[in-house]
Amino acid sequence: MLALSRYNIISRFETGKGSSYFLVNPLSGHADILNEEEHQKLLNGNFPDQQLLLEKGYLVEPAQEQARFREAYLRFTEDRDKDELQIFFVPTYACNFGCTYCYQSEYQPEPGWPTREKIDAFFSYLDRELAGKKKYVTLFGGEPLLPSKSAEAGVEYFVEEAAKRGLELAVVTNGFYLKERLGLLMKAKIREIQVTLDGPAEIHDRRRALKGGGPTFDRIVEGVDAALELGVPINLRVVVDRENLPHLHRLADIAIARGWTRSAKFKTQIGRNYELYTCQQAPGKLQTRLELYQELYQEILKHPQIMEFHRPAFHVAKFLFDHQELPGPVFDSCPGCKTEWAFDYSGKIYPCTAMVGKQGEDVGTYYPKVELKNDAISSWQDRDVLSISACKSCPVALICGGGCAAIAKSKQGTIGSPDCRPVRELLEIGMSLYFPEGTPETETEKTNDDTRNQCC
Amino acid sequence: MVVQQQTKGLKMKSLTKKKSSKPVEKKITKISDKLGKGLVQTERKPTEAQCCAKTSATAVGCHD
Repeated sequence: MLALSRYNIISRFETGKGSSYFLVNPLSGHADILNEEEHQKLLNGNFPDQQLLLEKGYLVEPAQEQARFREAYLRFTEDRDKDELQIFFVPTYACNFGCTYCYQSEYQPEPGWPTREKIDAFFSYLDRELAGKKKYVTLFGGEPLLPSKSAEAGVEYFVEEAAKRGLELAVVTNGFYLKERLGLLMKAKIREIQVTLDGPAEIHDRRRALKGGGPTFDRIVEGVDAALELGVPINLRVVVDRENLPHLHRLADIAIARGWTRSAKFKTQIGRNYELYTCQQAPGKLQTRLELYQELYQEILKHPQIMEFHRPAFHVAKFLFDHQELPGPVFDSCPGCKTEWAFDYSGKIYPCTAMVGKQGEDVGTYYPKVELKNDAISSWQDRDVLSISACKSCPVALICGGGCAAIAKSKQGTIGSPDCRPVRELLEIGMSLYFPEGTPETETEKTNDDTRNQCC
Repeated sequence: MVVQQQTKGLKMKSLTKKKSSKPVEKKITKISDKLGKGLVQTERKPTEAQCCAKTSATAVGCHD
């Protein structure tokens, strides 16, 4: 008995000619655009070409679809076992910035930098416990490039040890000291350096000022210029909310004028400002995921140059446009304790950057000795759309992937709950952006147009 | 860039490339406790990183 696939995602989206419908199936890997007539026939069960629907996996024999689901899941987990690991190291939670939305603002950092002994213990852990795995290290914080003798010596030693092992290095920094530290960082092969600019100078400096006041924009821009000139990849993050989204196009103009967007070493990411733990001075300016991307879409329509600066993913819409295929199904979107681990200078190990430094959320220690909380690690590793009850019957699970475990725990008390993403709604916007032509005209529409165009 | 499916009056516009039919390889993979047995492996597909941590140095990217 045939039935429509439970993984079909069907919805309407606006085009230049009115509206069309998209039909996306992340399990079968197909995507199509339908007009109103085709959409109705599909819903009414009298689509003319059943064979085509079967080939594309939109119409299925349910037992066969379940077998396909199981096979895709195994492939996903096997592929992830071979995936590269991102290992974060936090040498300090101290920071010279007083960002208005910092989620680490309530952390109580210990002063000083990790000793060589601790850095050696960190690398020994990598050498021994993660032997044979592809991996790279990321300096995180706080602010890892703070200018003190112990901090500089610590960074230098860390970079040397990474380079000795052939490990690529990424750095997440506020960028204030980037220009001065580039020479030191480049002793290792740099994967990328992430910095944040929240808009043009007056907007950015209001949100990301020095502790005690003082602008930061110009110094960060100098750092980005210097890095790109040296061929060092830059990942520019913009943390967005209602306050600065209307000014995003001006930041885009700056990046375009400085030549950043023409560099193959430059990329961007948009980060939604949101409430993680207690970090917001002005919660009224926050947006939901959907609100952010609805408003971003409107900004793009008003200021198309934003797309030269940043092309939003809208889940799989951008990928579909760029590659004419769908990415594989996502059974788990959270990398914690799987392809991401975070170590801090206290000797503790955490599942991810959202949890690192948070009391009670460590999953073990690497110093003074290696001790792992295997039950805690297992609960993170077991989390996916099969283990989260709400995800099992969700038609968008294979694009959402269950969301962020840290947010799920923060909101619902357990990582075994979902952090739902508005997949359908974001796809509606994304399809409008990347496929504005919608469907071709039907024969009926063409006839009507011909009639209208005739001279009377 | 997009393939027009012209089949029996159907004008669904395909957004995904036509796939070549390759023989399916049978391979017994490791068995997960959550799944059944008798599984068949087919060709791999690219995956899109859902969490910024995979494609970037990231801060809280995957949480956004």
